[in-house]
Formats: sequence, C-alpha cells, structure tokens
Amino acid sequence: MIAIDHPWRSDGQRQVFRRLLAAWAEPGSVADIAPWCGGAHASLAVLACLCDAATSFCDADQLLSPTDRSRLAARPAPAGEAAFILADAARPPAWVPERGSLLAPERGATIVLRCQSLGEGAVVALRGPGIAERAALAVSGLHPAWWTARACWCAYPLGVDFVFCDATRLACVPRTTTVGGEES
Amino acid sequence: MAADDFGFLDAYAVREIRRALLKALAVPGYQVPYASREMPIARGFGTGGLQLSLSVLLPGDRIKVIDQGADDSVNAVNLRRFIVAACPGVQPVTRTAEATVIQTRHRIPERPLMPGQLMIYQVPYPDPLQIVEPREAERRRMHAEGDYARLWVKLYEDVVRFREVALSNRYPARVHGRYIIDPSPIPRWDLPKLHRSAVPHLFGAGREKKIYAVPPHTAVEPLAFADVPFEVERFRDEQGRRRRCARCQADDTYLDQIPLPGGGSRWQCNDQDACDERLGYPDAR
Repeated sequence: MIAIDHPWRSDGQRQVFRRLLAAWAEPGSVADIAPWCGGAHASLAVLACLCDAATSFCDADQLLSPTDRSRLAARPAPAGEAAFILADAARPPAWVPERGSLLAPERGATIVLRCQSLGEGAVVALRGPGIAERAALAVSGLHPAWWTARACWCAYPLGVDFVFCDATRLACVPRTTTVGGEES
Repeated sequence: MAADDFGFLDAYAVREIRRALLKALAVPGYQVPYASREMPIARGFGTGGLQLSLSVLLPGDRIKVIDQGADDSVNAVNLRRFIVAACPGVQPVTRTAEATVIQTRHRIPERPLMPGQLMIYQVPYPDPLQIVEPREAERRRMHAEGDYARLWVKLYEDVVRFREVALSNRYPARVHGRYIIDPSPIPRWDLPKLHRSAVPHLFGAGREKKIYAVPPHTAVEPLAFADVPFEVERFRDEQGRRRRCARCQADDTYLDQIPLPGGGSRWQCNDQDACDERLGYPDAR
C-alpha cells in the first residue's frame, strides 16, 4: 500500500478546510494548521484542500516544486485567468487577477499569499461581514502594493479574496472586508 | 488521490463544495451554483444540507439534526442516522448547547447560537425571485443588477390586499445591503436571528444546485416598507394576551398550534430542545 502524507491526505485536508472556513468567516482571525501541513508550507495545505482538475491555478512566483504543482492537478492558467493564484507577498503584483462578473461574482480569484509571519509586522484594521466591530491583522513581509491593488480590484460584489499564509498558519481577507489603513 | 472514506462524498464533490462555500461567504447572499451530487435520499428531502454537513464535518463533531423544531421526526432521524453512519467519530446530539454543527429544516433553535457552532440549512427554493419570475436566467440577471422591483411590487400588492405581507415563512431579506435571499422556510420569528448572528449560516439547495451563506456579524434586513414594518408572529389569544407553551409555560418561543379532538387547540413550543431545557430535561436518562 502506498503511504500518503499530509498535506495530501483527505482527513488532514478536512481539518485544514474547517479551519480555513472559520478563518474565512471571521476575517483577520489566525488559524494554526501545522499538524496537517506535513512539514510543507501552509499555503500548499490550503491549495491542496481546494484544488483539483476542475479548477485552474497559477503559481505566479514559481513557489511550488513541479511535483507539488502536478499533485494539485489543477489546470495551469495565466494569473489573469486562474481561479487560484499563489504569490509571494513580498513582491508587488505584476498582473491583474480575474475579478468575476456581475452574473458570476464567484469567479473572482482566490489569491494565496505566502508571507513571512502572521501576528507580526504592520497592522491593518479590518471591518465588514464576519467582524463584530473591528479586527486587526498583522502581516510581516507584505508589500504594501497588495493593499492598493486590492482596493482597485475589489468593487463589491466583484473582487478577489486573500488568504495569507505563513509557514504554519493562515488568515483570510475576503472581498467584503474593508481594510482601514495601518494602525500604530 | 486516496479515496475519501469519511463523509460519503467523493473527493471531487467535497472540494467543489468547499470552493462554493468559501465564495458563498465572500459574496453573502449570492447563490453559488454547484454540481449537486446524487445522494441516497431523494432530492427535495434535504440533500443540499446533507452535502454541506458531509463536507464540513470532522471526527469529534457533535451533530444535531432538526426538522421543524423536532429531533425525532422522520426526516431528521433518517438524516442523522445516515450522517453518523457515514462519518465515524461524529456524535449525534439533540441539545442545542452541545452541538458543534446543526443541520436544520425550517427552524433556527431558540437558544442563542454560540461562536464555534455552524448552522446548515436544507433549502427547497433558494431564490426569493422565484415567486415573481419563473426563468432562472432572468432571475440571475435580476440579482446581478440588484433589480428587485418586482419583488417589492409583490410585497406592496400583499399590503394593499391583506394589509400585511402575506408570507408566513421564506420571508425575503437583504444581506449586507446587496443580495436578497430566501432564508429557507424558517418562520418570520427566526429571521431576526440571522441579523448580526454569532455564527456562519450555510444554505444548501440540493435539487436547485445552489449554495449560499450568511457570515457571522452580517446585516440581514427583512424587506419592509417605512409605514408597514416587518413583524414576527405574535401568538395572541382572543383577549390579546401572549399565549404560553402548555408544557413549559414559555411565552417567548415560537409556538405550534395542536388541534384537540372535540375542538379547541393546545399551544406548545415548536423547538423541542428549548422546551425540554426549560423543564430541566425531564426525560433524560
């Protein structure tokens, strides 16, 4: 029998998704998924629980090994067309993602951003659905151009959804969230 | 890829539902289309809610399944049995406070939901515009453009004819100021519970192949006119007093009217667990 390790095991992917769902429903909250990453980066565990041959994927900054990319099984696509984009948070985006259409806003891309660390670095205030009053999210190693680009890309209900991942944790900022500038 | 031996659904189905759920939460109230799978129960009997539950459950979860407010009606019992058989390690419960996932048909529990819980709805008709427009393509356009004029006209006609909006359940509500949802056939009584709720509400319409959601802390406003406000059921008797549950004496719950032989009727809590909890769980072993 062939042994399959995390993050490719379906039981681990279930665990990752449930934490992703909770973090997505409450923007800014940080979820630890280390036990189901199997030593891989959390961003790969997130992609592994969502991607398959029915969707498209762009590894914008060539962060994955060819083996991992092929195991995701998602159709390769340019950044402007992919449903899922993996990118390095330290570099500013050099592309414009799919934002969906009024008839199909769900086609707006999910952008998984690999950052240095969550809970450290510049703090942004978040407001919107999923947040009682205000939430704060600290991401270190994030190029500020991402927030400006996001402001251009998101015009509700069109837009893109961010998943920030450091080595073992994730936090989400879906398109409904208002990012209220940096806080000291 | 390893076969998914937990949760009945195959890996492709689970991933598609996961993707749809995330986008449904990102665009609150928008109906995300998905390829609803064949389930071992007939479409229209809760397959949408069932697919959502099977996609999110984990070993160690405690699931409560209700049909109306009851844990022991045929639909709830069958769904619960199937879920527990398909998801080893998931424990069936009836107490709202103990549940981590609540799958429901037609009610939201009376007990306030707590952060960490998930509400999953079985939805027969996901589109509030269905009562005014039979063509789905046209309804999609209307949602896309926020064109809800005909729905407002229908509500207005009700007010003219009956002096109130003649919808006892499935009362349309606007989510996050944009999309109007059919909150599934919950009574009006339950609609305010969706407004700025502490938990995510996930709606699955299996036959109609749609998934939509209301995230926590999100505005859900019932459609109403400035001079004809939205009202919940009042449960007044002939003297104008609020009726009480004949069993637990509660006067702040949604009541069922049970006709008695020989005329007259008895009023009782619809939410069985809330009624039992107030009585201190008299039948608990």
